[in-house]
Amino acid sequence: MAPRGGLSVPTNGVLGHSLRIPSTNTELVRALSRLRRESLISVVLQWLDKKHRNFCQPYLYADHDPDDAENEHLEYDPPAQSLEELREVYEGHKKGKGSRKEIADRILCGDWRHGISLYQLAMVEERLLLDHPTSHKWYGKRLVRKREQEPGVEPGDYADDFPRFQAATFLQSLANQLSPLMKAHYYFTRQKNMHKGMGLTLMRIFMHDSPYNTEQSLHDVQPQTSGGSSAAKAVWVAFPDGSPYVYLSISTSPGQRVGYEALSLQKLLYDAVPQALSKPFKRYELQDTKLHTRSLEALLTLRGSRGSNAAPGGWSIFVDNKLNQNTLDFGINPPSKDAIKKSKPPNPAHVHDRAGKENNTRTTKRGRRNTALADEEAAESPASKRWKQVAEGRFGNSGVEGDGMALERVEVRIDDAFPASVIPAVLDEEDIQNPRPTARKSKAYGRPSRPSELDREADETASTPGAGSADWRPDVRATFYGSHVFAGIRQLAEKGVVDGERMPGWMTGEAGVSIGVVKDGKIRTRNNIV
Amino acid sequence: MATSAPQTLDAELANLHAQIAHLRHRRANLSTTLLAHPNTSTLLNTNRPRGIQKPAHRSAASVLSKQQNHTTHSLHRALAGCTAYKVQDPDPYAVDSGRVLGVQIEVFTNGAFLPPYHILLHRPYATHPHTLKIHKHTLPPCIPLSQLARKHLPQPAKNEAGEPVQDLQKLVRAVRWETQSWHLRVAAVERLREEAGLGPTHPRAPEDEEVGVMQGLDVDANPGDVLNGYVAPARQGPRRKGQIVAVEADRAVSAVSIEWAGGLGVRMRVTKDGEVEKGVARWRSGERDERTERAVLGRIEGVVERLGGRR
Repeated sequence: MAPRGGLSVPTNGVLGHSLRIPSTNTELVRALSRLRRESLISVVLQWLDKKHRNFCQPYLYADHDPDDAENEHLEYDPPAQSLEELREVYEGHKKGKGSRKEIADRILCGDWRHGISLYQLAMVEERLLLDHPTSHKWYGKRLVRKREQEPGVEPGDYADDFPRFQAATFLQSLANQLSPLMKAHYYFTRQKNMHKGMGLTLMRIFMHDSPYNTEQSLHDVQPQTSGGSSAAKAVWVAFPDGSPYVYLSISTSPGQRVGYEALSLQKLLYDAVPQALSKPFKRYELQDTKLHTRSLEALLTLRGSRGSNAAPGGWSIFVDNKLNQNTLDFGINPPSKDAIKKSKPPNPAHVHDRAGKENNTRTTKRGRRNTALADEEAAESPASKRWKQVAEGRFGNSGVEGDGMALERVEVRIDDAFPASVIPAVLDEEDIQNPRPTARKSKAYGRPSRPSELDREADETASTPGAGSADWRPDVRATFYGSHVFAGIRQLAEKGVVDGERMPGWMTGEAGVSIGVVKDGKIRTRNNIV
Repeated sequence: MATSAPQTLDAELANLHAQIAHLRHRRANLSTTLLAHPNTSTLLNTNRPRGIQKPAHRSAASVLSKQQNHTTHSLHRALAGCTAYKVQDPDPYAVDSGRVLGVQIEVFTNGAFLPPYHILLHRPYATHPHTLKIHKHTLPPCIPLSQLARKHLPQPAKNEAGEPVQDLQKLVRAVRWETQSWHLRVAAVERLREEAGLGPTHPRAPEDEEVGVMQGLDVDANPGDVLNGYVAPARQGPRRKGQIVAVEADRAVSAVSIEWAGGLGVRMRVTKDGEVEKGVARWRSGERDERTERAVLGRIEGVVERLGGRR
């Protein structure tokens, strides 16, 4: 433990795991209050576990200072005698004693009254991240070699384009770069099976804008930052296994205001990540892949280590290999046909009805449910059947809730010339504008939004030849919101609201981006081979 | 009685389902054997009365030809390893009116074909009508497809009139070699894990995953020391390797590491064809173990045996 109130000298070190922040910290209280009861208890039990115990020391009876004047608290709120006793107390809570609030109070005012260590805070936030997977907004970035700085190296010579990620080395290098600028606490954790067997290494960085790495400096900063600007100082960086991507998080929980200082610290950090992965003669930088989402699953599907990166949307049928049977299967009546039927996405109509069904009794026999479904299908008109087939053809197995590709915000700018013959093409743009009630033109009305990233691209395109030609190119932008944008578009296509046959390909999500510019009916991407 | 009835019924149902599945499988198997037998078609042709075509004959002939087509198709897939096919892109704005060329690449490991990989190509350039470009693919990022494509499938430069020389066959061959060797390396590492007495890498039980364990950092050591790049020297004394506790590889299986309970760790670099090229063995204190480093070199398959870690 660092000596409290001892010598404070600006150093090059990092913030240690066991440095404590006072238990009155608003940020800490808020984080604890957002945890569910069982998560809270399991986190505390982890703190008391042998593996983590060193950094999570509770306040025990042996710790109290007999000469302290404020000793009267020992009488009405005695600290526990030993770790085992504490364990038993929290195991007791697990069985149902005490409310969530009571347990949180016991942690903050009782067993950890001397403060919660940075390590503990990191564990709490990790649990929050796993419990509320959509609480952070993630940016999918790609690591690319800085080519222009390495003359004489042919692009084909890069046998292995992405660096080997080794946590300890990376951390050392990152800390070396960042420590002159800020003090930070680093916490690593690993999820072996985040989504479909894909692993993810998560790093949490708690940034502390001070030249000192003592506990005192953490205390001093407290009153100034209680206004909320310190909130976003902890960010996550995620490294999926075996893929050249890095996910950066922007924490956007409600009620948090990200201050200018915090933003600049974040920027420093994000600049340092590729540099820390670089080696001499192997320099990397981060390139935006135009995919911003709240869902880590979507990132792992579209920017992960599987083959699903470069075949999103309707092309995902090639990933799932629903096209043909196994090579060694010589029968023409393949058993995989049943498999296709089983793995077919649930019909959105059924999804729609499911809510109603669950309102009914859950004891409905399977047979009855099946007959009910059969009735619905029989009642379908040929047109709606056709729409469904078209949607199936365009979307394949994607665009279904729970397919792991949930993008909740998709922005596009349409750069095509306004069609001279108004008849069919206007309809298309109308479709794009109005497919769902929430979709709206972001520039025309509504709140003055933040400068969109699409604007930046506008500058790029302005210089290209042809942009200033005689065609009228109105500034049309469409933004789609929703829990799963492409599932929504698929449902609309199945209902016949969107013409599934004339719909451009980017509306099926086959570009795999959440922000883009549409030209000639396609979203332009920098390099097609992801 | 009343309480046990649903359970027994459920068991019976499951039993019946299993039986049905088994019988279906058997029927498919038998019909395939019958149809694929060379005598079947001859019998069907010789027993046919001249001039008359009964509907039964016609349907039998169609089933037979279907089976023959399928057999040829499967044989090609199995033996050639790469199959080209055509795809129609449903996107109305697709380039080249939606014509897409697909190439399917088979991978064979552990006595079975894995789900094949696909590369889908199109011709996006109006000025270069024969120039192919990779449109979509289903290869994992550890296969260096973009590098291979740059080499074998160069794209036209901005101010060059001539079409670039492309060689799709070479590209496909190279990609197939990469994928096949990658899968062989993955299988080799799995075998190493088995030999060392460890479970498979991806156990099918996501619920017992460990949360909050730091990886790469030595948790037992003082955290401050680790962060400053200094690891405390281990206790002196007779060293024993003990059992292998971890065999790990990165996704591309170019680096494999083995760790022993006694604190020895070996990291080795594996070439694409499965040869251990270099190895570094270190005790936790930082000392190198040269004997282990020498023993590591060679094929990846026998590494655990060479290092004496076999159970």
